[in-house]
Amino acid sequence: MSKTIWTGLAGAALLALVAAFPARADFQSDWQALIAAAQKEGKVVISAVPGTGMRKKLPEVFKEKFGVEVEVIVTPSRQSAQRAIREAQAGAGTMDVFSTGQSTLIRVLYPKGLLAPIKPLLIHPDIAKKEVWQKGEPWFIDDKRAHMFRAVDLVIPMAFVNAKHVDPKAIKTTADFLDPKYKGKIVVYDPTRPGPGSNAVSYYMKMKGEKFVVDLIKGQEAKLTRNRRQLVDWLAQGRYPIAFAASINEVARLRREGFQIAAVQPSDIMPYDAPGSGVLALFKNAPHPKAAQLFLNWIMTREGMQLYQDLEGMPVTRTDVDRSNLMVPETVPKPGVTYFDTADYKYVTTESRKLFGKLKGLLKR
Amino acid sequence: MTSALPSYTAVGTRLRSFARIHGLGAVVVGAVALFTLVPVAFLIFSSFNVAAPGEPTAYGLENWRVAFDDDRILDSIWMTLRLVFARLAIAVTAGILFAWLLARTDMPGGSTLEFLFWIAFFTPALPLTVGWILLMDPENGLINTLLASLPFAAPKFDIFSFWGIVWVHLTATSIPVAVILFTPAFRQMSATLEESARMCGATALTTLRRITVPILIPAILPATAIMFIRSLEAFEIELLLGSPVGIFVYSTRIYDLIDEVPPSFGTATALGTLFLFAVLVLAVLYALCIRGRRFTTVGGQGFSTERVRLGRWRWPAFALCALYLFCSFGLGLIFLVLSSFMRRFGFFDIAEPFTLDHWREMLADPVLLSSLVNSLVLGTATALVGVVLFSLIAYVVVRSQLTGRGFVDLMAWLPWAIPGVLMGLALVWLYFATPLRTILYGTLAGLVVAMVIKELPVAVQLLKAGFLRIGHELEEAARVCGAGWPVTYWKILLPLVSPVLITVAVLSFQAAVRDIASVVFLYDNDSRPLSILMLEYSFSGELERGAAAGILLVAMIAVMAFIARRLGYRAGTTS
Repeated sequence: MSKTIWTGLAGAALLALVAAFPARADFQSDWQALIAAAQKEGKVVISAVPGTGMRKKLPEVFKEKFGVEVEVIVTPSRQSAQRAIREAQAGAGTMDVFSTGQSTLIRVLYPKGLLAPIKPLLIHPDIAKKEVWQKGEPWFIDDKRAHMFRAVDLVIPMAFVNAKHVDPKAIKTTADFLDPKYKGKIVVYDPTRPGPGSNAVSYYMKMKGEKFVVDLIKGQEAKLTRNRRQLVDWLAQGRYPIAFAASINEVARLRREGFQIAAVQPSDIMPYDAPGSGVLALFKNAPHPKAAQLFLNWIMTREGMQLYQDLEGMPVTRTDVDRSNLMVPETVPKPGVTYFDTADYKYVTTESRKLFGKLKGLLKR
Repeated sequence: MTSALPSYTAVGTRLRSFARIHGLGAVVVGAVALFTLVPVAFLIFSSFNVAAPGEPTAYGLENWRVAFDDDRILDSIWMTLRLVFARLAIAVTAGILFAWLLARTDMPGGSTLEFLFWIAFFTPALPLTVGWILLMDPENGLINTLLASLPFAAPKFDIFSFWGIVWVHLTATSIPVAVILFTPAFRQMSATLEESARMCGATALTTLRRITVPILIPAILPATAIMFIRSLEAFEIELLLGSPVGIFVYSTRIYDLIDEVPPSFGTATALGTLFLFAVLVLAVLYALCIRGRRFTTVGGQGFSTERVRLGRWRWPAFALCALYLFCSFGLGLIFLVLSSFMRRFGFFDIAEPFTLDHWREMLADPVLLSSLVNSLVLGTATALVGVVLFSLIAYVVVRSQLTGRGFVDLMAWLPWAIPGVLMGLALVWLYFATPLRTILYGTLAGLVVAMVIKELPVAVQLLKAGFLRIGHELEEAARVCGAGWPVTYWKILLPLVSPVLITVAVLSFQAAVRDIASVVFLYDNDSRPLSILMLEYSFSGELERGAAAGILLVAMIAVMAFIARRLGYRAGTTS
């Protein structure tokens, strides 16, 4: 009986091996052909937003592996989008891949049909492993699940506090932020402007209502700033020891410098997650399509995602990477926990815009 | 028959000369029209285009309604005007005083102090602003902490306030720019009239008030207009110091609209047209002020360089300049250098507060060298092309009898009306619409064109004022001696306005290597300038690495300024 089972298993394994070999051989020939085509194009041009770490090591690694240059153009997201629109109108695209946040992609470029689908271009077998992805497959956030690859999934704690001045354990519920002892102690990235402040506060308004937001910002005399460095400097000095919508990279830097910065997530509100600036998209009519395809395939492999995470300092959506060097581990999603996704296509195109409009009216300055 | 031949030849020569001059004039008019009217047309059309970016054009008044149907706009205009007039009043007064001390008096160390005013102007404003926050933060600023420890109740400084913003502007930009703009005019003036005034018993200050300043009105007015427009455009200091306390200015509102998702370019351009209105009003006022008056300070009847003797006021005057320069350049440089070597600027109580990491990381950046070279090429080319083109335009406006020169004069004011980002977008539009796309888009040449247009108003107004101060008799004498206009222009006029030319060249160089807004749409990997690299650092929160790059930038501009000054002095001395 046992012998029969083992013989059957061995036969199945042999069949699987035989079936896999041609695929492997096909992939190798396709992959080599792709590398050769990419080398012929010579380079891939990536538009990334300021603050990216992609320019640091990625071009060097990619060039060494494939002999293809990576050019990283760093421009604020809205301006890159305008540039892409003008180039597309003139039929003279210069950029291949866009690494940015979800808003510009979903609200500006995607509706105009300026993005090409990435999913059909993925040929690397390492990407096809379902078990390595947080969502069981590469996470595409557009309605067709093909155009915008979400490389990063970042859990955003409701606030960061300077533990020298505020006991993080003292804040158990959202109502605790409204304690009079915190009046004049809170700083928020200006929620009346598009960006991390509006993303965060819009979500709190959705979950806790308008009164909570008004009480938090106006009632607690929260200081609003539009400068991410100023916000974390105030947090570090203890001048405003409670900070909302602080940049994760800035918090990581503070921790590296020895500041006691703690994350606070009250129990009465569902935590939310966001991709930060970690969404990758491919421009339609990219001038270097093969090099772009090679780049996208490689960046989604374990090696590529590990490097992307190390350079951007944010957790990627592949789970087989080493996360031990992340300075803000609270941002890594926990298995079994439900997060509200602020990059959800439907939320971004409908509800979040309405919430932001209402928020601007409430906090008009 | 033989006697008629020479007259035919003379007529032919005159016709050729006429055609040459008018041909050149037509080229100047055409070039100015192309590069000033196209962006302005873009601004006006965009303000009526109600379609979303990238959608087919649709015209309407919605952008205008949205732009001005917001009570915050009026508030921000009022706040802008208050801030602008407060700092202009102080900066113009101080600028005239300092420029006079530097150029017209025997104050010791004048040349060195003048150079330091230049460096003060070049020093990036951000580290100085952060430095002033460290000193004057109402809660924990160093000066306020010291004041609080005094045995009596001392007033508290608050940098996050109206006067805090004015103060930072005065130390970082407004007064240095006033000194830079006024000094060449003071230097170009013959001392004959001042000497006469003194012989009639006028004191030094009375002479300054009654003789020097009125004569220099054509130089002071455009320089003040330049400062006025630059003040209207300023928003970085306001963003850092004003937004936490609810102080918003007009340019912040325009920036906000461009920063929407998707950007509200139509509404932003509708708001931007107020700049157009302000610029046109300034142009008309300036024309009215100088019409029918003569401002010749350089003529053919001798030029006296005799300086006003300050007597016992020499050293107090020096101390005043030095004190200002310490608050401006001294502190600015200290903060800049300190921040480039601090792990986190302003945090002295962390472990190992000082580090070389920012310099190490910056120098290891593979694009640093190419960015540095690009900036050098961009700045030098802008300065050289600019000086040639701007002086020709100014010459055509002031000296020629060309039909349409008044139109050229008006057009030369126009680029001021367009905020930098909108100018960049307009140029993308222009480049794509012409066959020159491959030469201009994404190349250094395209960036040079952008910066030449951007600097056109400042340079032309300064050079116009320079040419206005030169008497016609010098040109007439050259012509009598048989020199054609190119020789007269090259050998007589340009050397006489060399102090202004040097100022224009250095200002153009400085603007080209520091500008971000106008070039952000136009560069690519091979033409990335250092300013974009600094933007990258500052957005990453890397203020310290940005400061290290800022030091490189200041050093580069200082070397150029030094060379330019040496060349200028040589040309000026020779002339």
